[in-house]
Amino acid sequence: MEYEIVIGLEVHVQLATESKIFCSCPTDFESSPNTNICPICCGYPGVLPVLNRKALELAVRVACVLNCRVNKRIYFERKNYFYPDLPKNYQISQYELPLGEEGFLVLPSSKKIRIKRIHLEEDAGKLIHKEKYSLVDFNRAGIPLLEIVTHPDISSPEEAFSYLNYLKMTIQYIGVSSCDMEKGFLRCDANISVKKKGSESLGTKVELKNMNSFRGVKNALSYEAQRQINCLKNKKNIFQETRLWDEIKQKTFIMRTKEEAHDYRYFPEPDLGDFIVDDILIESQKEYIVELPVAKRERFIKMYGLSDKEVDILISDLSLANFFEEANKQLFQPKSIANWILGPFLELVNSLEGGMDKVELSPYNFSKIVQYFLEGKLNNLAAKKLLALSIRNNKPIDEIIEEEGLSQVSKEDELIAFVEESLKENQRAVNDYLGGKQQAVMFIVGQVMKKTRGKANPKVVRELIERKLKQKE
Amino acid sequence: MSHNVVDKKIVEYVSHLARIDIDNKEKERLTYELSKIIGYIDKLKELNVDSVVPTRGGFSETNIFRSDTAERKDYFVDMLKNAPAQEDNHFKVPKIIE
Amino acid sequence: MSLELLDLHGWEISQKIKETKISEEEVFSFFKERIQKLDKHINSFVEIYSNPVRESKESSLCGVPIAIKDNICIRGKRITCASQILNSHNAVYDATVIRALKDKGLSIIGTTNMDEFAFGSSTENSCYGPTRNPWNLECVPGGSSGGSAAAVAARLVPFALGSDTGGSIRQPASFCGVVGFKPTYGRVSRFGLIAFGSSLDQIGPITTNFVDCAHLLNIICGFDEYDSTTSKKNVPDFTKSLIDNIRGLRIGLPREYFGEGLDSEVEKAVRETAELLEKEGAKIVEIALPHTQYAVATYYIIAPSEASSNLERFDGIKYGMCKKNEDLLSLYKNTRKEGFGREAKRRILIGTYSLSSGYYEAYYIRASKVRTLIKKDFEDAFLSVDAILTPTSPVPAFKLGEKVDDPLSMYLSDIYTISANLAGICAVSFPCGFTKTNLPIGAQLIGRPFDEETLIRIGFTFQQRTDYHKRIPPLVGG
Repeated sequence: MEYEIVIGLEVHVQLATESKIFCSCPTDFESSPNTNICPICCGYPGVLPVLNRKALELAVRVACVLNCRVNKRIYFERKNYFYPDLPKNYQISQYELPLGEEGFLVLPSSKKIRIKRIHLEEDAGKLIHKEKYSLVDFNRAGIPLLEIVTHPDISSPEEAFSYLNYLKMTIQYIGVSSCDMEKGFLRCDANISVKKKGSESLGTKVELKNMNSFRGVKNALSYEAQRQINCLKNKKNIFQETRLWDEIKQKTFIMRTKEEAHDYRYFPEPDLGDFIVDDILIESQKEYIVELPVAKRERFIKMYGLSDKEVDILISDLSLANFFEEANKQLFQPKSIANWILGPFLELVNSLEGGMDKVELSPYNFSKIVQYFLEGKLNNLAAKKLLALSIRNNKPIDEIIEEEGLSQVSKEDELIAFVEESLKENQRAVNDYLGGKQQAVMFIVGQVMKKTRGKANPKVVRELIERKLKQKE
Repeated sequence: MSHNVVDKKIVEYVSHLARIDIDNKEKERLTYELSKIIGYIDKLKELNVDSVVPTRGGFSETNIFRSDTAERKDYFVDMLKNAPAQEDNHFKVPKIIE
Repeated sequence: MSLELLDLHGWEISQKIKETKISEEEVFSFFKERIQKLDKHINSFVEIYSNPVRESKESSLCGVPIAIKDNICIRGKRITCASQILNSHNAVYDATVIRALKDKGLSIIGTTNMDEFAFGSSTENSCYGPTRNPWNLECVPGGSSGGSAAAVAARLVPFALGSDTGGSIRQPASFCGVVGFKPTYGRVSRFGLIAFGSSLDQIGPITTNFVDCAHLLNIICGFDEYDSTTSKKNVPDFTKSLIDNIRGLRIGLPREYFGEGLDSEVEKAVRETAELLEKEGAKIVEIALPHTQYAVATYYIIAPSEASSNLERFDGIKYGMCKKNEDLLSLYKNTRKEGFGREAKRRILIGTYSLSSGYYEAYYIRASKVRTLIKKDFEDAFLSVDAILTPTSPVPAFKLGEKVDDPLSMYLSDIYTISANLAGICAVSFPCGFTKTNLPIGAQLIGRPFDEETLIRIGFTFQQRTDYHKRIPPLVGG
């Protein structure tokens, strides 16, 4: 490629606190519009902010995990601009002296993405646009946000995707946020420019907004990179502007009015004092830093012999990864356990509202299910049924097997009657098999399974049928 | 006769930033007044403040925090009542021309 | 009997109530009637409540009526900052000081007039018309807490709360012949005070004497978990400073405050005050506050800058006035055009200018640095003195309309009060004389941070030997 792509990403992450950053309003996102509000977060006359200690702690935690230099004495500033979702028409944020600076995140490809700065700020409300007017919901106003800005170190849309993934996992792993982009807990804007390969000077930077998923970010960057390259090839100008991503049309387009350069008139927030981020605070937050995604990925591949794809899914959620590991501690069968987790288990989890949080089944009991399956005590169907029954309540496995009669029947003398019955009832299939159609036997197996209501061991049944049919030949 | 330290263009720019509409007569008057006031304030340029640390607020304490406990109060009832324009439990604003 | 109430100060009234010599209801009715009869001349009140706003029954001042400046939030009441833009605003919560007053059983009788958003030194910038000085109805009462000061001076109410950003409690107190105290920044919670200059504002009592002042300070001072700028420093019992003894105290007279521009009668009265204090055993020392000449310029960058940002929230969307419009931009611009008065607009524009890109360094940052120098002037001075005595204002109450079209001249008259706000220290104005035309003259005491006690002691001692604070304006029965 004769052109190089230069990308910088600006990510906003909602911190997982119970209450807002400067008032005690709840942060749950399920409440009806304008019920999680109070005079403070809505900029009523006479109100004052008081900082949520947890918000600072979580922010310090992220600064540490991203290897930033943490500024020991920080303060807040006002960013002034008028917009209906901003109750005070200024946002309390940080400018001159952010919480953390000059950190980095290393991707699995070993590429190091430098983090320029991270800082704390308050979120704005939500706007719903109607044709002739708009509606404002202030539930979100005042939720603590962490802004994470990279240097323009990212060199491709795929790398941007990887960065977002690993940033999300890292922040999730340390318990700071679920980073669910669909729910709006993580938002991303991008800056992208292109330049001729080897050129020292950077191209004109374009800002991209309105991407709602990691894939959206990747596709927007791909489109925009190509657009800019085409411009250069055709000697057309690239303007420094803000473009919006259209998910439906899969294109970027310029915002209708030329956005004037904002004069934010930053100045120190007089309603808040300084905050000392001392070593005690920093050390206390470092304790939450567990094995991080990239390291875990490497270890899983080595220790469990799983494929990259399998590992990527397992580590994408820390509680899932832990579940996997705990199950293997009871029964070291990584491949089988991975299959069962990545298949039936995840299918069930994804259908639960609340995902892994709602799983009651213990890794020990899960490993037991897999063990019984491998031993032939349960067949595939029975094991799946057992999983579905126990995932929400963690009842002892043997009890459920007993109650539901899930034990697989493998004894030949228990099955022979069913086999003979099915052979008698399905002459056509028998003839097909004898005539050379080997697969007809599966149909008969299915009939036996039906008769035994799924309890028969399909392997044994098949053997029996084939033996009987051979006798007939 | 001193020239205007603050001219009409600056007044226009600043009143736009502050989202206050001013008519021409007001613009003239404000340009004159602001010019005089800023002209006086320029007195501060007499001082050498290179090595002076700016005062950042009047506070005396650091690390004033709240604990992370959520409380739902019922202010929102009165707050929605106070809204000049309201629809469906939302604050209503006219068309935002983007 | 009722007229005796005029001779009693607030604490004395509460004693009479406790001794059941008079009932709360009688006291409330007395003042309410007085307001209804006399305030038409003065226009010091914005809202008068038919029934007192009060709660619990305990404390030293219980049952005594108090008036509140129209910029302190009282839940359920109309609080407007004397501005059109808040004309329809009903506060949805109580300011912390209001909670404190309610807890101590005081009766809130109404809200008082002020300069719009506290921008002014004359209470002429109000959407309710000017307040008049009860000593001379053609004169201003001072500002921005002119309504509170006039009401107390006219004995329409025993005491009131005001707010002080650059002298807004002290200057009107001096024009009206009452005591106006600005506590150290951080002593009193600003939660519920509609903000003007966040790093400068303080709520404080306006009373006829230092006894009431000490009692009220006891009630309103203290750390507040809703205000990150309040101090955790212990609040002493200020009534313990009501001691008639200032022997050995060193009181400084700054030479910069006694120069050009100072009215001769004012100077005479303040120097005589110094002599009296010296007779009582204080040592009078001349000191220097070298950066005084830069205080007004510094203040008129910092205060409007903070104000311009604080007033951005008034946008017609969440509360208050709204000028209906087709589009958002017009909504903002027209609401704020119609809603803000002249002085408010001036300050917002000065502030926006000082913070804007290209000017921020030269104005806001520079002013913040000079502020440091002014603070240091006081720190140095307090190494050799315990309190500083100055005139409160270079002139006594000026005529209505005299300065209203000359904003710079109005600003310059704040010269003596402004520095205490920039330095965040405590200061009080108290009556120390009268002009030949029977206008009050105020002297100001400035104290170390958190040393309100020394100022109370000096003031109390002074009031044991003078009766300026007991005089009532002739218009209202003096």
